[in-house]
Amino acid sequence: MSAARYPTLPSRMTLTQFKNRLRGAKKGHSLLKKKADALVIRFRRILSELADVKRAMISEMKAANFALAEAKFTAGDSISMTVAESMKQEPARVRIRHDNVAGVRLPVFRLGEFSNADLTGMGKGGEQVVAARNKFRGIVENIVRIASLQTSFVTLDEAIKVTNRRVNALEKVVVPKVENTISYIQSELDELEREEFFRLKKVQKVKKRRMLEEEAEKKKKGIEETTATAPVMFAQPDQDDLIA
Amino acid sequence: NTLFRHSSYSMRNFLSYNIHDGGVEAIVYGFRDGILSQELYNQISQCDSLEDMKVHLSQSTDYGNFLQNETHLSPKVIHEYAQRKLVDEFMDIRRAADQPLGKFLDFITYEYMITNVLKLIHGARNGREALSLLYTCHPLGWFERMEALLASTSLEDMYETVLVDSPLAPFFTYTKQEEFDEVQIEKMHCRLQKNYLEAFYNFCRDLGGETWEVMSTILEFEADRFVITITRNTYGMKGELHEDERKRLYPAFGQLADIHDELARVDNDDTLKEKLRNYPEFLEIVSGDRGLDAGAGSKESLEKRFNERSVELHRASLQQQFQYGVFYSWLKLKEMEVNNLMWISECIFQNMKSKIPQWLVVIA
Repeated sequence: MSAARYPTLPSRMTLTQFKNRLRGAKKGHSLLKKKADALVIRFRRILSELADVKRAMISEMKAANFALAEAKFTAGDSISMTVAESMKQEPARVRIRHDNVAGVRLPVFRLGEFSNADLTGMGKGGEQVVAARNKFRGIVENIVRIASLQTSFVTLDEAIKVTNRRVNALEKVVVPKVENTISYIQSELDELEREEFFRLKKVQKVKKRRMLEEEAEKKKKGIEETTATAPVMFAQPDQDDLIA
Repeated sequence: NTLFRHSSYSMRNFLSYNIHDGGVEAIVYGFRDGILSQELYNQISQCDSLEDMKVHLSQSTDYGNFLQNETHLSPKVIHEYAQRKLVDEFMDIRRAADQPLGKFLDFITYEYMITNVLKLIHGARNGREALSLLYTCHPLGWFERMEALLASTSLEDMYETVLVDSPLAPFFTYTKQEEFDEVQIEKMHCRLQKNYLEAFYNFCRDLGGETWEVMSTILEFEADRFVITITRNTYGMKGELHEDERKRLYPAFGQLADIHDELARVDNDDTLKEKLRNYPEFLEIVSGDRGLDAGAGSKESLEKRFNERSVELHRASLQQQFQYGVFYSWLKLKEMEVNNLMWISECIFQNMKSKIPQWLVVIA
């Protein structure tokens, strides 16, 4: 893995590109890390809250059922019917709004106000019916709260997983890969430079040698020229003489 | 309500009472001794399971082996069986009764009939399944052709074909036809209950004698209780129940009849107490020791205090001879006992034994 690098042409331009990329990746990594931390903190808080509410539900549920038994006891069996009949419209509605935690949208459910009481149990047992109703309203409120927390819990869980995966991907894959690429390009460039340097030296050397050779030849030629022309000049009359 | 004036009945007094009604009365006195004692309540309150309770009940009470064939116990089952036993006893008496005692006993059952009819009407409105509805009806409130109510298509139809011929017709004619269709079941129930109480009251007056003496006390108490309960349960509901309408739900007799107008306007506990200051008996019940606001969560609720008071009245009625109040009181006390059993079994079932005293009304 660590040997992996992006396929690229080593050049100055790609080097700067990759350097920018490395900077970006590191910045992204630290940001995501912060986000993950924030999410985890929220997650823990929700978790403990959720556990509390759920535990409280147990006893509340028990009390509410008992209150219902009481209401049934005093008002007679038929209250369930009259209650059902009096339900012309839903007594309360759940509203949703969104909470933003480090860029993750968490749904928050909120229960609206309950509509007013009715005449159930007017003749008998109204008191207990009201008590039971209040108990169960408390339970509905708690259920909504649990629903809200539970949804946040699931959403956060997902978000944390994704963020952690990204953090890890950046840390373990992208950054080393970019770093490898950079060092590859760097070494490649160095190599090129060295080659260039060597070539230059070589050229210089050749040039120098050539210059020296030329110079030596020039010197030699100059002597030869002087010696060579004289005899020719001398020789000519000689030859003329000889001919003549 | 002249319908219920049967002045033709000869007055029963201690001279002729035993000739006609002595036998059945003796049966009732026999049944009365079967009413569970404080001691027994203590015993069954200690039970850890419904099985234990069953054993206790079958060993040392009149209930005997009433749960013998039931393998799966639940508060509902216990209640059902206990109620069935009570209904059987009542029906035995009804069969043995001479007139006008028979009429008197029938009158007692009208109350249950009203509840049943309302149940069926309600069921028809909401399109519930017919059979399951019949099953939930109180057995004391059965009357001929009751099933036919379910076959009726509209409420008007129901009234025209069935209720007119039933003993309940007088109560229904009192409510206007259109209200019959529109008004809430709960209001209708109260209206009918009021009509019923008034009719029963008048009927007892016509019977006269000792019966009138005893029954008027009991029924007046019931009426006043009804008035206070309605008033208390409808605080701040002017929108749903106007004060005129509220007043029309009050039975037109009882100790509180004089202040009905004022009570109809009462909108909180303080005013209620203020209005009741001339009626120490009710003031005491309404204020209680722990105050009104504590509601059902407190150790004692209004309902229970009323129940306790009515137990006193019924017990006093059982002490008097030569009158029909005995039958009414016996049934009511026994009914409370059945409720007690249901409550205790419910508490045991839900593992809340500490709450038993909250509703237990000791009778004997």
